[in-house]
Formats: sequence, C-alpha cells, structure tokens
Amino acid sequence: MRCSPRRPRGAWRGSALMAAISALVIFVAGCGYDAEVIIPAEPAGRSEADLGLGPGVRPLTFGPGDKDSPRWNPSGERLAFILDGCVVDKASYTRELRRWTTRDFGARDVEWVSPGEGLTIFGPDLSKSSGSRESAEPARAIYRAGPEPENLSVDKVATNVLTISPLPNGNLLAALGVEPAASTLVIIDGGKVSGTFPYSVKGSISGLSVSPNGSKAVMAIRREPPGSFEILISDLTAGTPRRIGDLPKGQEVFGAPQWTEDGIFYVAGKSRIDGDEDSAPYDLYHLPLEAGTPEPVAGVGEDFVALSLQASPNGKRLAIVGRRNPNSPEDLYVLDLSTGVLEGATTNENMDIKTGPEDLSWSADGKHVAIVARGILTGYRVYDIRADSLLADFYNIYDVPIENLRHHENGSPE
Amino acid sequence: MRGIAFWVLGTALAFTLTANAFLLLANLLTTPQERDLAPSAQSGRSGSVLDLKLDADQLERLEALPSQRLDLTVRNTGYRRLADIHLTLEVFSENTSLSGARYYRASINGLRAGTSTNAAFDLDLSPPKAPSGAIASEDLEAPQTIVEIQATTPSGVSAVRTVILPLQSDS
Repeated sequence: MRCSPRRPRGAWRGSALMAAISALVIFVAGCGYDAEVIIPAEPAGRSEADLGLGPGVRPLTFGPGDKDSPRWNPSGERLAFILDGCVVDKASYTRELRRWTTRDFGARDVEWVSPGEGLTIFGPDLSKSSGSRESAEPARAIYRAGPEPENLSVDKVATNVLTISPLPNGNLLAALGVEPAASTLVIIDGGKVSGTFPYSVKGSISGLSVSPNGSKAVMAIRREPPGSFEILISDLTAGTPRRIGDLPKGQEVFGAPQWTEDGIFYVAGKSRIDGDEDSAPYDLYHLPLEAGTPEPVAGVGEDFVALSLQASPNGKRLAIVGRRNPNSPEDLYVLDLSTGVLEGATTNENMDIKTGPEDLSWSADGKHVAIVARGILTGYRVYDIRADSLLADFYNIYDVPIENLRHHENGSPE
Repeated sequence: MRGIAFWVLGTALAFTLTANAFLLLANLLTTPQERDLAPSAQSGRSGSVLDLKLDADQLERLEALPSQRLDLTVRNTGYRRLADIHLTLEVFSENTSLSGARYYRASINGLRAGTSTNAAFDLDLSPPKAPSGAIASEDLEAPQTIVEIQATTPSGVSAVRTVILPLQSDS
C-alpha cells in the first residue's frame, strides 16, 4: 500500500485555518461589492408595502395623466378608466393600455356592459359643443363603444343624460332630462334604449343607484328653488317613484344615494361655496326605506367627515372615502352594515385621495375597492426611471384589498 | 522558515480581512444619496457607467417660459472610453390629452473613463396649448411639466433622468 508522507497535525490545522480565512475574505469582499452596486428595481422606488396608503395596497396604473372612474369588468380581469378624458382599459395587473376614444373626448364616467359587449361612456354631447364648456350644466350623452376598441369610434345612444347607474345584468339605468325641470329614467341595453319608464319626476335627478338585485332604484332629486333636495325610490318592474325623504333647505346630496340591505345611505351637507370646498364638511346619513327622517350614521363617529361612498355589490357594506375628523387625511373605510363596525382600509401617510363619487368602485366579488390618489409632493423631483413608471407623482389607481381590515368603533381604533 | 512564512501570510490575510470588514461596514452605513438630485428611484440599470447630474439651483429657478437653460453633466464612471453618447431630452405635460411634446438633442463624441463633460439645453417650458374644444380636467388645474432625459451609446450603455417640475403658468 502506498502512503503519502503524513504532514504534521499542526500544518493541517494551519492550512485549514488559511482556507477558512481565505473563504471569509472572498465572502466579505463579495458582499461589499454587491451592497454597492445591486439595487433592487421597484416601481417609482417604493415597495408595495410602502405606497403611502398602507400595506397590501397595489398600484393598478402608473405614469402621467389624470385618472378617473376606475371600473373592473365582472371577472375582474380588466380595468376600464378615464385618462385625461380619454376612455382606456387594460388587463388589471399589466400596464399596456387600449384606447377606446380620442384623447380629447372629455368622458366623465364609464361602465362595462354585458360581458364581451364593450363599454358604455357618459360624456359630453358632441353635437352640442357650442357654449357647452361655459354653461353650468353642459349637455351630456351616453355612447356605446365596442365590443372591441376599433378606430376610436363610438355610437351615441341617448342625449340629455343627467346621470347613470350600472344594472347588475350589464344594462344601464340612465336619468334623462325630458323637459324643463323634469327627469325620467330609461334602460340602456347595449347600444339602444330598451325601456322608458312611463313617468317623470319634477326636478333634476342628480344621483342614481340601484338595489343589489337591480329591481329598485334610488334617486337624489334637485328641486326648484335651488337648494332643495329630496330622495325618491322607484320599483323598476312596476309602480311609480315614491318620496321617502326631504333634505333640510340649503343641504345638498353629494353623489348618488346608495341602496343597501339596511336602507338608503347618502352623503350630504351644506351647499359648497364655489372655490371653498373645504368649508362645508359632509356627513353620512341613513334613511329607512319606509320613509322617515334622515339620521346621521352614528357608527362612523361624531367627527367623521364623509366625502364619497359606494355600496358593495351585495349591499351589505359601504366603502366610504372620508376623514376621521376634519383635520385627518382622507382614507378609505368600510362600514359593515350588519354590525355597524367601521374598518379602515387604507393608512394614508401623504396622499391626496380623490373624493369624486365616480372615483370609488368595488370589484364584482366585493373583495377589492379601487381608488384614485396621488402623493402630496412639493417642489421639483428627479428620478432615474422614465415618467411612465412613476407612481405617486401623478393621480393613479390603486387596488385596496377589503380583508383583514383594522376595526374602528365610533371612529376610534380598537 | 515555514513558520515565518506562515505568520507573514497570516498577518497579510488578517490585514485584508480587517480592511474588507471596514469597507463593508462603510458601505452598509452610508446611504449614497446626494442632497436633492440623487434619483429617488432606481431602474435596475444602476450598473450603468453613465451618470447624469443636474444643477439643483438651476432646477429651482426654471419657469414656465421659453428659453430656459438646463445644464447637464455627463460622467463616465466606467473603465473604458465611451464613444458617441447621444442625449435626447423631451419636455411634455402631465396632461396626456395635450400633444406638443418638445424634443431636444445633443451628442458627445467621446468621454474617457472617469471624466465628465457638460451639455446645455435651451428649453421652451411654456405650457402647451390645449386644442380647441378640449375639456380641461377638473382635478388637474396646473398640470406638472415633465422633462425626460435619455443618454445612450451605440454599445448599449444608457441612463435616464426624469424631472417633474410643478411650474406655475402666469397665463
């Protein structure tokens, strides 16, 4: 047997020590190099957990442009919205946009119609363009686009449109101005008016929504003289509208009253003074279906300022953009109507959340709410990514998961 | 003799180890952010050997007017000369319904390793005119101005800087 000459034990120990030291030196040197050069790529330099709206909130859009009216399609796979007046849509979690209208279309709201049949667009009546920009109530119309975006062309479906509300079956309920100081309701089925209700109501329908099963509607009516509002409900299968509540004079309904399992909820307050929107805090009110006196909702807390709201698809919860007190930042809250518990869905650090009634929307499964927000940023900023990857610098759409929410009772955290 | 060589080698390695440890600590404890122009986001191209620097005071003085000077320092932080550096600068509005982006170009023939050079642009930062009949956004009363700067070379080296300017127009 051939044997190598044995080395002294001390020499083996020395070699092992040297090898260990060498490995450590190489490891440490490598770490120093990586820490200096490798920087993880993040959209706009912020991780999903740190978007300024709290953990779990995901961006759905990036880049410049004013975004409005986020609307998921029934499957949640696509998101339509308005980009600087142009109607676009995209796969929910990719960035590539499809344009449905010209860039200067001036759309105000967009809704998905029956699956695979495209979009319904609420926007300016393009045939009445003269003077419409200056007038207090520009003429508006409903357009049908689709089933796929082709040539950016749209077909006009109805004119003199005051407001719209999607129906659960993919159709659309629209309020039309029919004569001076009167309104009526029609159903838009795809690209045509399929039904006109045989009545009109005095005043202008300023807000409209439907019950979860689509059989009933609730309307906010702006009456003459200006500053008078009332709440009407209507059975869409039969019957005439019925008044269930009046607002005190000088108080206005902001957005559309919402039909829930627990009655009607709406945001109202003193009429806003032009140019001073912060001067009149709005409150959340509840109105029983049997008619009665509107009552402020106690569960949100005495100092809570409601700004906009949207009932969940099953009518059991309300998404509310509001402030816990007049000095708090806007946040998204969810009110569980069966328990009266108010839950915070966002933790706003330094964001401006849009409070327009169209800028808040549930996914069809009731698990997500889309909001529009941007950072409150001052001065110039410099980045080393392109503008179309930036996030907080512009109004963008965020997906807020409605699960594992923080509980609030009477406006205070538990 | 072997013992002496062992201890000399061991001392040298111990010195290297200590020096690297200090370097590592220095890297971990310092945040490589400049006062204000350090990009607050990284694109994953941070290994680029092209570095673009802007003048903070100059950026603060920019107005929504024509003839606004913008100086750009281009630095080659690599170990090889860079040839044919093309600079493209685009000025556009945050409002995507407004067309009329303005483009500016400049070229640098070559830049030796470790050196820098300056490029100056005369920008028109006046707000683009809205097309007749366009409906202004209710939420964007004063759209921000965006200046996007790209530096590229034929060999594929590139760098980007995007400047968001909240310029107020007098009109």
